[in-house]
Amino acid sequence: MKNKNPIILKGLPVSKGIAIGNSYVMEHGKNIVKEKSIKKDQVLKEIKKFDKAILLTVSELNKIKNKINPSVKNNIGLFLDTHIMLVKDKSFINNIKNRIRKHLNTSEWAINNEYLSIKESFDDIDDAYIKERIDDVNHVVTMIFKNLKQRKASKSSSKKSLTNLIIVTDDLSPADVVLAHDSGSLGIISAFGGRSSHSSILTRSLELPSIVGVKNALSIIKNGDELIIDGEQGIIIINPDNNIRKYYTQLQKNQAKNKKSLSTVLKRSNKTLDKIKIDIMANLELPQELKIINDKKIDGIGLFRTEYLYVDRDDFPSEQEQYDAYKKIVIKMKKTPIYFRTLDIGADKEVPDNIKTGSIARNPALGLRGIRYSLNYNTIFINQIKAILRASYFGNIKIMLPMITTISEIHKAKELISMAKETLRKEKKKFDDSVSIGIMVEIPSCAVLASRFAKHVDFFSIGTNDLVQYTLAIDRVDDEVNYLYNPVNSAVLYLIKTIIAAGIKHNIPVSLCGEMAGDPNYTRLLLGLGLKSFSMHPSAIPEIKNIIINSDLTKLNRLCKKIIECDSTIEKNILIKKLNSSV
Amino acid sequence: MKERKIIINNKLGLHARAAAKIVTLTNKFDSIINIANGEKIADAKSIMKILMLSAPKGTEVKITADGKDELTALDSLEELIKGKFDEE
Repeated sequence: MKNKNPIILKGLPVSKGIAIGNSYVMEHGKNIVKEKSIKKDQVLKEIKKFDKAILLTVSELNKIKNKINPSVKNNIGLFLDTHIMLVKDKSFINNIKNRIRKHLNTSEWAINNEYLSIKESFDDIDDAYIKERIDDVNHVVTMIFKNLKQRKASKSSSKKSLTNLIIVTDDLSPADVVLAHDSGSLGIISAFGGRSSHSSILTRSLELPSIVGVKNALSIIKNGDELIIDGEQGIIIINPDNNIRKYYTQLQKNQAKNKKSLSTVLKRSNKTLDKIKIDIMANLELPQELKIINDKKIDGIGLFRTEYLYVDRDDFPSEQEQYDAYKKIVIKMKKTPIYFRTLDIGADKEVPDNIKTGSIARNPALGLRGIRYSLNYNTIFINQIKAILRASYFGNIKIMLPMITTISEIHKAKELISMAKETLRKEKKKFDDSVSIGIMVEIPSCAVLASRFAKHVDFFSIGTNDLVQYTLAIDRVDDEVNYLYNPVNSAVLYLIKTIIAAGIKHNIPVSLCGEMAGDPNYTRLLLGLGLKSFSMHPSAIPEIKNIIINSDLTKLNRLCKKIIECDSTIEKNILIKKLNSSV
Repeated sequence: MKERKIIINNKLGLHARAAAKIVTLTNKFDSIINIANGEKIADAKSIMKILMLSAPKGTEVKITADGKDELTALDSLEELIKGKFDEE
């Protein structure tokens, strides 16, 4: 065989991991069906065949539903229910049967015609979201087609083995993903699709390496080509040479080894090599994420975002509604601390209809958000505080105020909290009177004078995302300037150090809940700056914990000091690398 | 036969999952139940037909039910739509 040159394709990485294997090209978006009629006496047989394909499709979907990882079950389960309903839809089935009966269409031809007529109606729909549902109809129709064919094919080959193959396809339904996983496929490449599609969520949940949106995949990759998927970088290599193959085989081995050791890491206690206890906490956005957290030993919820109760509605959640939601979480977490961040909306956070404040701020990052909003709209704030206080009776809650700029804001918020307590006492509702009140330190005015702010609060939580943005005057969602967004800028590191020192001086705990806490590049740097408490996305916990328990704090200080004092970005990155590689 | 007018109020309108919830509900009743958006009328027991109604947020729809349990059917359907399909 002649040596072929490697070809590299890029796409959207949706599921991590490396896959090395041969391609199996599976084009099925276009259901090519030939016009074909049957004879009158074949009608009954044809309808029976169609009925059987429907039954097979429904049971196939049900099987898939039962196989889904429980952590994503709710979302995908509902989605598959929709597919099942589409398959079983009476008007859909009856129309197809009519086409078979009256027009003597074959099942395939009848389905095809019905699909085209449905598609026509969908084409007339203006609403983009509903219009896209034709994709669901298409997925379902494809499944029915496949099940019609399967009856024709020999019985034994009904399920093609995809063992050790990488599937290359145009579009991917959730059903395809589960099928690929079950039949031993190594990974999936598709020409269409997005990061948050149901199929992509599934590939992540099943840990199947996957890259989507590879537009020219089908025209370039041929059946049987040797492929490598790098699910981290979104890179596909066709016909890799020996060097590339060697590199990825090694990388794949290392990752497998890491994963194995990471799972044992979770069982160990959170102590550094020099026996210092470091708190590792999780950030929580939705109560459903509790399920992922439960199997990881954590020291608390370092950031509980309460916005989920407020978005996607026209009114505000009542005190009772919030209380019910908070109470459930508190009870689940038992006595583990939960840092409740009061409503923080604005800037890059989605602003729901109910929170529009009339005048649209020119620069939302600098506008009415966080505590500013709460102090401006007292009743909304007091309602939330009352709900949080009532839930505090059942566990260990801490109230965290976002976007504090001045000390007087702390006083005003505390006054409102006292008022809320007073009302609760009158209403004879129970709560934890000693609940601690702390602040997010994310605005330079607060960071610079952290030791003065520290006298008025019970704890600090550093929000690095905003702290970096405000310190460097960088809008991180602006493509033209976000190259300047740098969490290890010396001014930022200096502020983080100042905040931690203020906490030590005034004996209040300091944690860090921004993205930096979950970034393995910065774990040792933060430890070196004196940080004793990290809060991050649950998925980052194993990797960060592994670094923490393999670090010796006594050896970090000297290098960290050098890093803060370093003026060159390049030199600084070299120093950080050095810090991370030493034991 | 009973009828009522309701405004679709959830963010995404009568999308796939909302439609699925309607179908699950309506199939519990014997009555013939329809949802109309202007000229277009859909069998409320068919997910395909509901999707084809294309009713985004803000659409006023007319729901009708005909049969022995028409009142309870309309009540429950109204509750589901007004409760925004329990979406988060």
